[in-house]
Amino acid sequence: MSPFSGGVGQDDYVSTISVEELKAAISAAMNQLREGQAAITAAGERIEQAQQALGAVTRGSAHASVTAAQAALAQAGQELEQSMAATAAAAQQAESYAATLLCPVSSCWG
Amino acid sequence: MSSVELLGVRIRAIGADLPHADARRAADFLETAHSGFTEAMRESVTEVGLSDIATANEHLERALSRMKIAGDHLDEYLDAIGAVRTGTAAPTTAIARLDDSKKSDWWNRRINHISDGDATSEPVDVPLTRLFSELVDLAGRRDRDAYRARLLAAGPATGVKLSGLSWPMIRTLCLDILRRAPRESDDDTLARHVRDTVTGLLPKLPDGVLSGQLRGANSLSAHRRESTEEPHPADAAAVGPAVVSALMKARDTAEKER
Repeated sequence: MSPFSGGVGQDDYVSTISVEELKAAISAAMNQLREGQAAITAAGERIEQAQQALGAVTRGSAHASVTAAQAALAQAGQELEQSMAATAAAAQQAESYAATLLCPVSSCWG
Repeated sequence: MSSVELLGVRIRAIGADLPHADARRAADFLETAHSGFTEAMRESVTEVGLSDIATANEHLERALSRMKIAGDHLDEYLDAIGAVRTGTAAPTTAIARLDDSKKSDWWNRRINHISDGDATSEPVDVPLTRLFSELVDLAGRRDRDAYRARLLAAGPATGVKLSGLSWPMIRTLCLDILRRAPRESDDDTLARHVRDTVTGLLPKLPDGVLSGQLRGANSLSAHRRESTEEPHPADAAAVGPAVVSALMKARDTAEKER
């Protein structure tokens, strides 16, 4: 793997990282991001199940603690959705950047 | 089982099933991803998703906080319907024989002994359901030091109530796994699901405690070769969340295979 200069670094700065190394590092980080997304999805599904189960078990109860628990679960679900949206934005940025690395080094960085 | 007890069992199951572990695992993955992107782009002026990942982690932290709040409200509801202490008769009876002034000492000594450690911890007040849920998470991660520390911090007054939460959940999980009421002939099958987790967390737990807890939770008679003596209350309390964690994994695996 050959080091390249310019492009991703400052002017007059010689990078110590090759394109292949950069692509591999981004790919590894993307894998972690996807694993995180899978865990967020799993958490969201279980929050939904908890909401349904609590609703079924306490059907008809207007107890303040039950209402507050339902509200907290709903908020937890919303936070998970927002977390997922933020990871999707991060993934999109990373994929777009990685795509620029696919072009031949000579045409991208001359 | 009375309707209040049944309601309590179901509420506890909901509290213990809240996905604290999934959210923490997600946060760990995102931290690693953040570090990976930071390292990959260390020589670049381009920023690839770092602020979005940070935002995602903030939302995860808030989700975890909301789950804890939900768990606290479930605890309040259990208190309100008088269901929290269900099933704690045996440990409470055993504790009553002990000198109150030495409660913390016996608890700390015993928890350190069965977990093969020598730790100390400042007491921390924590709602029972949250404690249980955190221990189930730690057991799932096989984090013996953290599991021990959490038990020590909980102290005997809260810790001994763990058995009351564990048994109904163990019973429900065994039913889910076997799809029928457990029988004496299921001893080996159920023990196989939980033994590694329990041994990893509590390597010096006396023989017979695990099978005794499984049989007790499933309303089966104690094995003939087991002692008729009540288990040490700390043993019964400490092993419960570990068993529940292992059975939850076994249930998930069984459901995927069906």
